[in-house]
Amino acid sequence: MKRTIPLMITAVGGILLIVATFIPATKDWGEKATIWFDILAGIAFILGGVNLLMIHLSKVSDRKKGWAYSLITLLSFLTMLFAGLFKIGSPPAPDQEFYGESFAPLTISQLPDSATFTIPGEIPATITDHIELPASVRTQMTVADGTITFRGWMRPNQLNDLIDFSDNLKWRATMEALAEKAKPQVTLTGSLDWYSDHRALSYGGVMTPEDRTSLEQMGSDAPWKSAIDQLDKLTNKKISLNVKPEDVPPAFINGDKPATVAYESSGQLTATGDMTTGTRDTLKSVFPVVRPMTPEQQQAYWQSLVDAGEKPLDDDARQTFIGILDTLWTKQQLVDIINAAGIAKPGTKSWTQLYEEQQAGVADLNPEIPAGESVTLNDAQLQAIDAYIAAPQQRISQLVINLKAAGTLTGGQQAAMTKYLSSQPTSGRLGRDLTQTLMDKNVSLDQAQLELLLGPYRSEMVWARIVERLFIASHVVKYPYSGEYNATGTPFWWMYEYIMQPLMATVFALLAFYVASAAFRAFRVKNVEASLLLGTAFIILLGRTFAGVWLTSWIDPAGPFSGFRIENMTVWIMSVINTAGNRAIFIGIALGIISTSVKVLLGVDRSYLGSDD
Amino acid sequence: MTTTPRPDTNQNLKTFEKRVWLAVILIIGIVLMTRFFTVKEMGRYYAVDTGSGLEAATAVDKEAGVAFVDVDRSIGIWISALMTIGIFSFLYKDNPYYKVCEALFIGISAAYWMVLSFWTTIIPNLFGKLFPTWTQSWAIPGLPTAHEHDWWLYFVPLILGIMLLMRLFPKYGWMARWPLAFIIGTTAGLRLIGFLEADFWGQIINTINSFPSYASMIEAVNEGNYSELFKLSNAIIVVVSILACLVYFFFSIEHKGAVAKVARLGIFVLMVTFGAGFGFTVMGRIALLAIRLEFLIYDWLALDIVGG
Amino acid sequence: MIDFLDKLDRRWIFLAMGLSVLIPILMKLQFPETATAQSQAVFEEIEKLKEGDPVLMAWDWDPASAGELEPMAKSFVLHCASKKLKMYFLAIYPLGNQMADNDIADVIKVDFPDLKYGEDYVNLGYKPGYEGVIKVIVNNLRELYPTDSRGTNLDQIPMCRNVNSVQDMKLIINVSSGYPGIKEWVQYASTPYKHKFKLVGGCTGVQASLMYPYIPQQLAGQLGAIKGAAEYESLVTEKYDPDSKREIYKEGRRRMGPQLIAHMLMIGLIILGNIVYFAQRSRGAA
Repeated sequence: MKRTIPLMITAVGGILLIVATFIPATKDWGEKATIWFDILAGIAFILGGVNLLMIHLSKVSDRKKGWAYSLITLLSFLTMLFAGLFKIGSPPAPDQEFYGESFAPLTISQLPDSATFTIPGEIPATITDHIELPASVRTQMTVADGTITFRGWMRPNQLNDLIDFSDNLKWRATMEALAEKAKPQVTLTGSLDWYSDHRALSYGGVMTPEDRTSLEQMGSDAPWKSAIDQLDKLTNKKISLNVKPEDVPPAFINGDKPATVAYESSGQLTATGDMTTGTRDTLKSVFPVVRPMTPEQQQAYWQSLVDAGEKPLDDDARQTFIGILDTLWTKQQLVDIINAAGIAKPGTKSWTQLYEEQQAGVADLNPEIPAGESVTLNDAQLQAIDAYIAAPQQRISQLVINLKAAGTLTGGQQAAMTKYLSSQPTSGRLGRDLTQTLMDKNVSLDQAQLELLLGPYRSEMVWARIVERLFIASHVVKYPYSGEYNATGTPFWWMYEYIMQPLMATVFALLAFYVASAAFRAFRVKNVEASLLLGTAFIILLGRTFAGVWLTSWIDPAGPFSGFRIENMTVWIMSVINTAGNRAIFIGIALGIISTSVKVLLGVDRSYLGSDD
Repeated sequence: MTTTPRPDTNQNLKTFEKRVWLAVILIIGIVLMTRFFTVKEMGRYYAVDTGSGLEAATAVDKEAGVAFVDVDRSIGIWISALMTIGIFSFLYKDNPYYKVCEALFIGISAAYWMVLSFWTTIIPNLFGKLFPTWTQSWAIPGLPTAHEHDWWLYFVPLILGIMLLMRLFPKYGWMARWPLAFIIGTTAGLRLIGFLEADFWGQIINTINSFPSYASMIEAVNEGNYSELFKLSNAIIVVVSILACLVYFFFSIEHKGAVAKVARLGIFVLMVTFGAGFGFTVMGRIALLAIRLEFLIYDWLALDIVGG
Repeated sequence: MIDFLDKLDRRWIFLAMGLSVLIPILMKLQFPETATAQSQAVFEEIEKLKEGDPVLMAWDWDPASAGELEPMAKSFVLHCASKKLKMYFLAIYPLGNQMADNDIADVIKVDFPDLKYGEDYVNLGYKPGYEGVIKVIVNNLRELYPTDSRGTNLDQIPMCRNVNSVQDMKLIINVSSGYPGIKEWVQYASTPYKHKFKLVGGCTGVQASLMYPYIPQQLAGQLGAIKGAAEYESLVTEKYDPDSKREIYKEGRRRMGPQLIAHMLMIGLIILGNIVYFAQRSRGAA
């Protein structure tokens, strides 16, 4: 009995996988068996680790020979295990922290009735019973008796999943209509959300008293009120950092600040609520983009660098410098990008529109809406761009306002322009690139010249660090254990990077020495076979390096003896003889594996079960 | 006639050797410390905080004054160098320094595999399937919380896994046979198909496919191009070589007469194959050594002797 | 002399090997590399792909083989990022996940900062199970990978939304240092699904000669050891990064310098060993 069941398990497991390869109906079972195998392979690692722990513990406790080394093994094992299992020092996963949103626990049953939306509809007949609704909506949506009920507010990804669920037009139109219904009231749209997987009510931004009143009117149950209370506290919490006033850029002090960030000239930077990544990125990019330079401006900039220090700079350096400045963006490039984004593209009808057309009897449904008129920049807008170029401190946001005031600017044009300009270098980045290029050309700059180029870079880096500190400080961690166990900078990572990795690599590097020793002591040309082996080894050893290629480079590559060029000989040996030999070995091994596998599966070979006990 | 050295001579030699080593280590230590304090790049990791994490500082960062010496990583470079030298010391002789490095390696790597397995398999693929809500609430926030179809089947690998861990207890060790049997069975099944398809049938197909078609050969010869004939001759050599090797592997019949001659041809083919394999292996080993020496020279000692 | 060589302490040979690698490194000895057919085949296979094509980057190697494989791994990432392919990193070799993170940090984040995680590249992480993992993911990726290595649901990652299995990939690039590795990808992916995608790979010297039987039907091309890495590296950098100052794109070629000297040493040692052997044999016969 002790052996019968394991033998049966072996047979069933193996035969199932073989059958699943040939019979599609059993493919799922084969997949399940493979997944279980993968899980057990993972658990086997734990078995190995605990086994090691027990062996070395007994060695230390019994004070056997070499117990001190076992103690080192134990201590290093436990330290690494502790650091890894508890993810010590690992920051939470950035994609799961929902920066900018505050969470309060709320389960689906605690959602108020006003967050329940219904619409008549049913799952299309083509969807068979065992196919479930998409995972993203499964807990929130039910379909029964011709009614679709959705609890909570639908997010765009949920709508996409529902649209992809079936290509039935009526279903898609219904889902669109449901998404339109399942939204919070207008004043709360964009701020309020509920996540089923996280069982949390979310509020983005700072909760105003008006919003709080609206929320309180939505429901009266205690869990709902408690959640609103918690969100109010979290979103209005203030976090302050003390910073050196000289580290705060004038562009931030004098420009428009995000609504949730305040600064006092004494050096206190305050954030209210959870900072979004957008706010963080906006803060980091307060520095104005460098404007395109005329040749005179380029020359003036170069001259200021020469005058700043005492080190002479030659014409090569000047040309390199000007060459970088020539790569800055131009007005024409910006205009082309904005105009290209203004080219009218055909729109897409909504699923509701298509369904209505289908109901109206339209046979050939066309989802496309013809393109409207293209929008290009007018003269006034071009002048606004000129003014932007002439005013180095003007922000991109001001340019957007000016362009809209001077003419039409579509959403697409605004986005393309913002993306393009935001990717252009600031003074700091330009200075860094100029310094890097001059250094690459071995141009030597003195301290004053470096300060001219790199001063702005330093300021930007210091400010980026301050913003990041404020961003992290303002955030309430939602999932402290969600980070990677081997995140860079953690103790686990450190031990892997600086102890395990070099040890592993060096242990394998020792092989080079042993191969050399073996070459001297063991490789003897005792017979024809040995001489064939060594002769081939010589050809390959030479042929894989430059020396071999050089040795036979005198042979005409197009002549009758070109086959004796070492690179050709190497290719022939590898692709003909080596291939043949390895193929024969593969076939032999394959036959061996097949016969061993069959013996194991049929229970003929039972050695893996160990002895009877 | 040889004389056995007297025991005290051996002892003197060992003491002398220890003293020489001590002196060498002391001198090397002094040289290293001198270099450490005079060369600012040696044994130091310069980092820059970009605002979204630490990165290696470039020369520009150092000039700009935003780079700083990261103490953790600098200590790490020294530890790595000492570990590397510790392992290399085995080439001279087995010694306690090497044994300490070895002990550290065993402990750390065993723990690494355990942690790896826990976070990459047991949590997401086992507990994440059985208890998705609980797993999602603390470990993997992005995990879907809805149970999958047939999720309860995952209790099978959970139970088998627990039985596998019973191997640690002699009294219950017999329980580990079931999961081991499952592992052996599935491995046998997987391997059988994989090797049959790719290594047996696939190789036969590849060999046949390496023959050029008759039409292409005629066309090439008509154009005065003999590459297709060369391809044909190579394909014939491959077939003959494979068959010769397989005859050599066939030990159920006695290698006598014609069989012996064919088997000998097979051995020759195999010797060339092994010679080629040896050549590639040497290349691999040397590259492994090269990267460790590069670390010691560039990352630790910051030696930059210009040449080449 | 013969007796001296016969009784030579092997530690002198170790020293000779150490110096034969150390001196070229100190002198930064480098030689020109011309691409052979295999490296060219790998290069062409990736060149055929178009912008946006999905590529599976199966990183099945560890620090122990970084000497040979790191240059080719970085060159693969440089090539794919330059062509704006969609890169899906995963590992069935325990430390491969870490190697992928390193290559993403060293290549993509530095030279291609415009590429976005989740839209242009993603790291799915490591799963144990050896070839069992391949067997599952060629049909169903989400069964084993419900999230990426950061714990984000695959359905929330834009580039993963429409990817259901490895069959949705146009090409698999495997960097392999042992078991499981390139052989398993051939056996369980490219052989049963030869019409769905191609497989190219890079492997260590130990494996390289063993993979020839699979070329070209099951394995479209392979980079063998550091030589293959150096050749491929020169092809990629010549086309996509000819003026690069970054040392990481020259590692393969840099490591070929020690190869030449060390190979000469190996040949010398074999010849010397045989001289000693034959001299002793003739002495014995006399």
